Amino acid sequence: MAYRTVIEAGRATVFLDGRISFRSYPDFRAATLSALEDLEVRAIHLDMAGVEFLDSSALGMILHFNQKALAAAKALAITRPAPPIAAILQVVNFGKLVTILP
Amino acid sequence: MALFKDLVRKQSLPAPLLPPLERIGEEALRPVLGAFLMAQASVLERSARNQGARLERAELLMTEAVLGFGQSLKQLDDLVHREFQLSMELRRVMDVSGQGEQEAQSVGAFASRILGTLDLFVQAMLETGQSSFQLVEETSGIRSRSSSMTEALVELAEVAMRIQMLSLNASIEAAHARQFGAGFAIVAGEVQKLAVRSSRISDQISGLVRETESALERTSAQVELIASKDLNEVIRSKQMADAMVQALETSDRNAQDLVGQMEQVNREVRDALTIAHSALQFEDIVHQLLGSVAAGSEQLARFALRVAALAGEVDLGQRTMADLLAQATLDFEGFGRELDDPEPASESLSQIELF
Repeated sequence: MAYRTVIEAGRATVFLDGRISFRSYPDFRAATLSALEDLEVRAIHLDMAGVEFLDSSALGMILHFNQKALAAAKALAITRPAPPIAAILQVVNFGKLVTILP
Repeated sequence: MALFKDLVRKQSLPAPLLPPLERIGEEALRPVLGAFLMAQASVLERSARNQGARLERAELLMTEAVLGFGQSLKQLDDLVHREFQLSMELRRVMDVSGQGEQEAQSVGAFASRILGTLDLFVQAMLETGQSSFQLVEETSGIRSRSSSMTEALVELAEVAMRIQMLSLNASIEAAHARQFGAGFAIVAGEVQKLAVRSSRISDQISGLVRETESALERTSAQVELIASKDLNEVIRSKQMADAMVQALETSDRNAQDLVGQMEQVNREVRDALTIAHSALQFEDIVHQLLGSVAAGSEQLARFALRVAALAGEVDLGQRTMADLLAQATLDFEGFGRELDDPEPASESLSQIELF
């Protein structure tokens, strides 16, 4: 998994690429750490336009991160998921747990 | 009775029977009139006999037909009753699950339960994934503390080694002091023993820390195994369940529709049966009509006898032609009045109200 984080005007956008699985956790944590620790950031967007694959552990990873974001009073959202990823999110009703933006 | 009248007309009964008598001599006319009347009587008698035979045959056929029709209606009634019971049974089976009537579940509710169960499974899977990463962070903390412990143990081992060196130096210095250093030599020896013991304990702790780190590695591998599930299989299962539920609901709707149609057909057949049973009332009416026609045939036969008797009197010559003609006129007028008698009210089809 590759990542790039852009923080601008109180919003952190984490661009994720490739395959997200259990072993992506160190990278994921590194990608989101600055957004989580920055006190100016009020919203964190996980941009998934470049994500090709994710398994159940990736969803667990996002939920775990959502918990930490909520604890830090930051709103998490998933943005621009590709159709196969959007299908997965829809099947597991992920929209009830984390905001999903087209 | 109208039929009977038509029949009489077709037999060409003579009216008027004879030309004016002034133009024909009485004696010349007598044999001609006798033969004419006999011929008419024969035609009438034969016609009455034929009609009677046909009527008997018609009544027999009608009785057999009515009997067969009644039996068919009875069988049809039984079949309709059976079909009604089957449709009721089918509706009951469709409306009730195997859990007893108190917990009756429709197919729709059953489908909702399947999808609900699948959703619960997905929810549990997500919760497991989330918990897995909490576990990952916990193990990461333990691993970090283990690493610190290992560093501390390395330092401890170095301290123990220095103590050993110090105790060795102390022993040497005690030897130089001869009898004055005897006590100090004992203390130095004990310190050396403690240092060796400390070093062994440190080694033991290092071994335990390594085992802990190894266990943490195995735990991480297991957590990865638990948390990582290919969601494509879940998606396929969900799609299959959705399709199955949709098929079940469609099938249920179609079956309900068919049962409804069956019940509608059943009702219509029952209505038709009621009408058919009512139609059997025609049997009595037709019997009456046939009886009436038979009575007409008998009238015709009696009139044929009367005409034959008149022909006999003509041949005998005991009565004058004028007298016989007057008698014949009276007989024909009487027969005509019988034909003109109004029909019994019950025989009028237009007045019958069956349904």
